[in-house]
Amino acid sequence: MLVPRYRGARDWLPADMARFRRIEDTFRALAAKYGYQEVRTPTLEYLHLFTAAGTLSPDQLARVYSFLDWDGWSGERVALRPDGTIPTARLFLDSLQAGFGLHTTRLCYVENVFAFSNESGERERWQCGAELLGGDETAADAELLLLACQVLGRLEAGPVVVRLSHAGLLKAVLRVLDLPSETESDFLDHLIAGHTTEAVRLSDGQSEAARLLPLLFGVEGEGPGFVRNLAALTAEPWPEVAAQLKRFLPLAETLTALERPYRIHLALDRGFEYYTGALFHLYVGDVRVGGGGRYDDLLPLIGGAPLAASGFALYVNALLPLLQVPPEAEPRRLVVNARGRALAHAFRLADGLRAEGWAVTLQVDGIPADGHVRVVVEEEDDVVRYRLRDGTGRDSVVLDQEAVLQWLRTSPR
Amino acid sequence: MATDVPSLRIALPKGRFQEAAARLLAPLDLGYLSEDTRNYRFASTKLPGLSAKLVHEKDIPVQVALGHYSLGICGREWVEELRSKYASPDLVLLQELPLGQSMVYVAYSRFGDPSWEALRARREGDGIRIAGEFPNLAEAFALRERLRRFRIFPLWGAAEAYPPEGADLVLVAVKDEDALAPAGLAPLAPLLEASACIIAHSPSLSRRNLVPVLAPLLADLALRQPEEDSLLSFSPNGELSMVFPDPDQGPSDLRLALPDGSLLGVVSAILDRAGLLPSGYASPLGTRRPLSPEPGLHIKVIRPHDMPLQVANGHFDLAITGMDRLEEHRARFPYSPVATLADLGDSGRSLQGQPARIVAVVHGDLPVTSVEELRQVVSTWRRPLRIASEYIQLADRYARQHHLAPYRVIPTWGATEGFLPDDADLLIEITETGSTIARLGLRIIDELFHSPGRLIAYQPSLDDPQKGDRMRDLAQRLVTAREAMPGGRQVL
Repeated sequence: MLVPRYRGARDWLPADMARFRRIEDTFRALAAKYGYQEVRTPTLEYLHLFTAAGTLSPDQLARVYSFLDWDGWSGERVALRPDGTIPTARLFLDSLQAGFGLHTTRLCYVENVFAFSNESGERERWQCGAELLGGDETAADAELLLLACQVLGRLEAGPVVVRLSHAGLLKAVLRVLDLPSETESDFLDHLIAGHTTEAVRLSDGQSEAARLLPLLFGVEGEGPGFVRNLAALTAEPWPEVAAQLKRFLPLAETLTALERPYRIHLALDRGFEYYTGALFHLYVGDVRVGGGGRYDDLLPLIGGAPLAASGFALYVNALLPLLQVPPEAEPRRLVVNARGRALAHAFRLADGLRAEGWAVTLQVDGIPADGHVRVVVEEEDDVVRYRLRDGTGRDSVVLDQEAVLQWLRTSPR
Repeated sequence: MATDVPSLRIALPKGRFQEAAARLLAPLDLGYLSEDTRNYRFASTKLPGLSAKLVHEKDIPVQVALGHYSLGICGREWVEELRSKYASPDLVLLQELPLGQSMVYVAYSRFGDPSWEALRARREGDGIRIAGEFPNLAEAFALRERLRRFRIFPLWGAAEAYPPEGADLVLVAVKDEDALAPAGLAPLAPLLEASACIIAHSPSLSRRNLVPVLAPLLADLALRQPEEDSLLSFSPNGELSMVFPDPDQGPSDLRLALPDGSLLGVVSAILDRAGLLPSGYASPLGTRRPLSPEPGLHIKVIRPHDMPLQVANGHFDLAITGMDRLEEHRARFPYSPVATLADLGDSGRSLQGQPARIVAVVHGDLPVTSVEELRQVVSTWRRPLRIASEYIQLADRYARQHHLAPYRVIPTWGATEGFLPDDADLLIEITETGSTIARLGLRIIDELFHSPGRLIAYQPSLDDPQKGDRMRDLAQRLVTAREAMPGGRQVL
């Protein structure tokens, strides 16, 4: 690397940007059709927006880029936005809640988020996110999931696998087990890794844990029947867990009725701190390309009134390598070559051509080797000539700009 | 003991563990003996290739993690302070030593809110203020406790002086919990047990034979008795420490911060001549809350390094510090509401001393005599210029202003002269006579500014009609006193 780039950051080259815009345009267009309005939050937020219990976990907070601002003598830290959902919730409370009334609010964004990564991971990532505030729980969760899948389908990134889980259920299990705080972290690690035997051991012989933990977290299901089975099995010993499963059931039923395939895997990853209900992870092959879920408790935590809410984000950095570079649009593109006193005429001609829809590059240092030059502007004895090439080797010479435009309109591309 | 140890470097602590480490390492014959040594660099006559350097204890974990030293000795609290924020895999703790046992506590005032729960309920909306010498541990504590909103005030020392007015919680290292009460503190949570420890750069541990150096350090470890030392962050101050200002202060009451440490002598003399010397300020007890001779003047003694930030936050109306500390603060916070109310002349270090100056220093072997020459030399290097300084912001500003790119600032806590030439190329340092710099074979290539004593003020208080007049009157009394002293000079 000739000039070192900041570790964990990436340069977006023209081919990357073409794919980025394709993701962004597809997402924005579809989100708009679902009624989502685009917003953008600041890159810098107060750190305390993310520190309350139930927002970001301590592990996530330890990777936030935070610092004192130039007027930060009070010790109030600011942070590079580590998450898209929490700032959007703040934006809603700040600016949109007053007109909220009884309606649901649908917001979407394309934003970057920042988190330290010690490995080779990227420290700046882009997300296409959608948040649905208010409304019916099942309808909202299903709508978001369908929107996310539809975007991925339009992008033709590959077959999408939807994995569902439920944060409320896992939190209910933790409440039932009432593990010491120092054990809880290891317990979650084992569940996520699929080591249910180890998780059972950490539950310290609590009744029913040995039977129910492997069923809840060691088996993968595919439909509402699986949820009903688990609810029935947990109803007697762990009614709080069964209640969460019953809450989860309508979403499973709706997705099955919509013939949207999904898999149920109740062991979550660790970033579930602010989620309260259904969670979904989206995969293409082994690559996790998106995720989201329900976060009904978040708005009160950051100072708002209770409000049902859920959302998702598609991970642009993960999607990028899965996409083909979109074919270039029809190249109504030409090069105008000029030098010396002919330059002003060439600029005028280029402007006229652009107004006609051409993409025009002005070439002032000779004819490029790729032979794309279509117009050469020359001036001699105050006479301007436009030498025109149609790609077949034949040259035409005209004397005014209108004649150039006329020729281009009729010449082969 | 004739083993050859090719170019092995060990970082030894300057200060509290210095003599104990010297005793442990005596078999290596490093010539490293006592706290009053004026050298920074030592070479073993027993182990060719082994060299040692005196480094400020707080800097040792960073230097070892960076691989500048294979081994280091320091307090474990500084290792954990680094690791709580920057988990370097290259830093490993080898052995705790029976030396300097202590406990780092999170504590709050016994004289404020009746409980932590009450304090949290009252303060969390504005942000719990946590002060101390361990800002990374403080942040980790705040995140772990899920404090909704918090503010960290890094300190150079005297944390116990802050609650309840200037901080809600403090992190302090004390011998045990019993040591908190005499300082007016109540324990909230023990954070970690600490003692002196041996740390290593893990690649060195993996690849090199460190046994010839470790052997004398580890010999008879189990037999050694724990040693008492001056580890306490503070000393109990007796009754005087319990005097708190009336929370319902009068409209013209003022809060004044006075410096401890090297400025204490000269500031005492000025205050005495001005009729403002508080009872207990210059006493051996070292009280943090001396009694003012004037009603409505509430005095606290803190580190001069910490004063500008404290004044900027309105915890004090007035403070006496050095211009170096004020400029460092302003370089970091250019819009800070700290005003200079009076220049106390060259009282920065000592009455008899020459004016304190902030200077740029290189090693004598570097063939440059000016910053312009340094810039030209740096432009030929294939690595960044390394600038070591206690004055991180001033060093950063200096490098920017003089286009010394590329550069890196290495923060230090002191003993910075020892960084040249192995661990830094340039220092931004304070000096009076320059004699230490010359004795160590270093060269001053630039002078940034003179650093006289300053009376600084909280601008909103200065703008307050009732407080402002009294602040200006006090300033005039101090300046008059300074002028009347031998060698006094007033430069308002």
